[in-house]
Amino acid sequence: MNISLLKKHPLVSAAGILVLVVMLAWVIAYEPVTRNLIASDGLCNYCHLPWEFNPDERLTATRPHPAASKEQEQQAQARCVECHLPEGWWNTTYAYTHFLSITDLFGHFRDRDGERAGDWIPARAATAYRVRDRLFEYDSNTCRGCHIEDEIKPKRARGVNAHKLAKDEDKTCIECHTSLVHRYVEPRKDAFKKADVSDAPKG
Amino acid sequence: MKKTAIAMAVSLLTAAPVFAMEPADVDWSKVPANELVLFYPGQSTYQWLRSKDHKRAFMQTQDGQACVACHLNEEKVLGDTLVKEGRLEPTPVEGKNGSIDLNFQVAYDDENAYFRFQWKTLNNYAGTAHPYWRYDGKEWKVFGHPKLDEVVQNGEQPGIYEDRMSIIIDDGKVPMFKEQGCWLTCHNGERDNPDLPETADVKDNPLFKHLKKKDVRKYIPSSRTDEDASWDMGKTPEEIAQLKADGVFLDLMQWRGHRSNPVGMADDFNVMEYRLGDAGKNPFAKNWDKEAKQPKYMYDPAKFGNKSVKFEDIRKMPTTLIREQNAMPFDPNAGWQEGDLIPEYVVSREDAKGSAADNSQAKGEWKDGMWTVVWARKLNLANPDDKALSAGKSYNFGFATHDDNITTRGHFVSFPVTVGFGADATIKATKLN
Repeated sequence: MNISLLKKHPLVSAAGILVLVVMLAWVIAYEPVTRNLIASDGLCNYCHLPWEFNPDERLTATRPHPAASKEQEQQAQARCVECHLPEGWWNTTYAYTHFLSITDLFGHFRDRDGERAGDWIPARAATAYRVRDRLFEYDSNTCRGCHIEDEIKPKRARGVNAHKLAKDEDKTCIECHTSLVHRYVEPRKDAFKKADVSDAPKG
Repeated sequence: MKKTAIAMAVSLLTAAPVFAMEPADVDWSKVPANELVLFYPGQSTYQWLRSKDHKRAFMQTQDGQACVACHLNEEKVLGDTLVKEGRLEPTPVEGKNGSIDLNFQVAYDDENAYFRFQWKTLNNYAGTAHPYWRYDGKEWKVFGHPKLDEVVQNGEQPGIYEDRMSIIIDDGKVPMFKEQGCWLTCHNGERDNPDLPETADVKDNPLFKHLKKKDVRKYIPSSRTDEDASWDMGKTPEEIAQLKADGVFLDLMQWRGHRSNPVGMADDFNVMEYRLGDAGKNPFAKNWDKEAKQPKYMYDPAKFGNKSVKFEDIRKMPTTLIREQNAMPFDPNAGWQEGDLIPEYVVSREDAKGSAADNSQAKGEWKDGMWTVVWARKLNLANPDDKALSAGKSYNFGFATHDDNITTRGHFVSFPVTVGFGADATIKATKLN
């Protein structure tokens, strides 16, 4: 850089530095600001609360996660983004594309034709199916943001056995842990089926 | 009554069956013991296990995942939970334990497979009593019921039912039995389970009409047309016959404290579209004359010491009515008194015939609070309603015991386990020389 040029135009120089600092700050703050301030539960609920409405039990559309128990009283309640928006700088962008209804929170474009095809399913179920499919596809990456598999120590034998089996068979969290938080939606029969190369068309 | 007991014991001893090779003669000290935990299942039916109430496992269960994939070594916990009043036990039995430890040994030679079972009973008496006909001064009515029955739970009737040791066997031809065992046979609609249908509905159902049955008992999902394996969705008799011919059925054998042990036998049933007796005749039959509305047989006073028993006698002495040993045709003019009891069933080793009489070497002894049952089963049986046990093969076994005056689902059950006769399996039978 030509130092003499900077000396000749100090205001331009200061502005440039300021822009650089702002840009750097933006790059650094982009993810935490988005996750903690912008993509708040309140903002999510601006659109999604109607879908969560439970006609039988008003205002109990969701259950706390982690589950409220004596041991967990001190733990903070998980927020929407912690389960639904994968971590990472680039993934954060999907919050904004989702606000604009272009993609889901995993960056997949809306497939409106696909969504309209086939049998009609309730919107609430369709939403659950989409999220479960994404979690399955991405190895439940948002679950793993908080839960480290090797550190999970279930209290009951069934939990120990099930987690061992899951590791042995390379299963992912969502295959068992559906409907943990939101209103119950029956899993689809063909959910969580991994692709089998033998099913691929020949030739 | 002491005289009666002695007479009964003598008659049993003198008429004891003679076996080609007694299972009791096996040197069981040289046969490894396997400790199995059998637990109370409550109403955990096939349908419940596939419902969302089976929380995080119902889809896996539908896909055929083994029970032990999650519940390995959890039998005691499961039993202790399920035996209490809750979503799977609407009619808990007071004081009932949640599980038992079963000691199981198995051996074989060129002729037979030999089984030995040991388990502690909840009560300090042998479960050899079974419901009776009781004379109320005018007519004979059933006296004593299993403890899940409402009449016992509300105190109208005493809990009386025989102890049992059951074996269920699959040779690999019943889909998912290896993984889910006896739970394939336990369904909504069966006795003491949810959604019990009206008798008229059962009788009107085409399958049950064909079977001439009026209640729903064990069946396997392969016999039904719908995914939920509903009791009323049976396949046609032709389809069922073909499946049976292809070997899609289970062998179910029960040693019974009242209705088979006194004649040294166990019964022989099979399960496909229903729990059906094997061809021929089992060692027990209903002691009832429908037309005369009275028992067919009574005790022979000359052999038994009395023509009937009283309630206070029944757990202090053997009371099984054995046609060829202590019975005679019922005499309505024998001076019956209110409270006289005659067994509801008559037992006979001589009358047992055909494939139903295959288990002719099964004997149990109750001592110091524990049953020890030894049992021989012929290898290579050729009956179409049996699962032939053969050297060099392994089988999927399920075990159950009925303890403390109970029947139907009130038993303790095991998860399925493989047993090999000279073949690789979880439990390997010892070859006898």
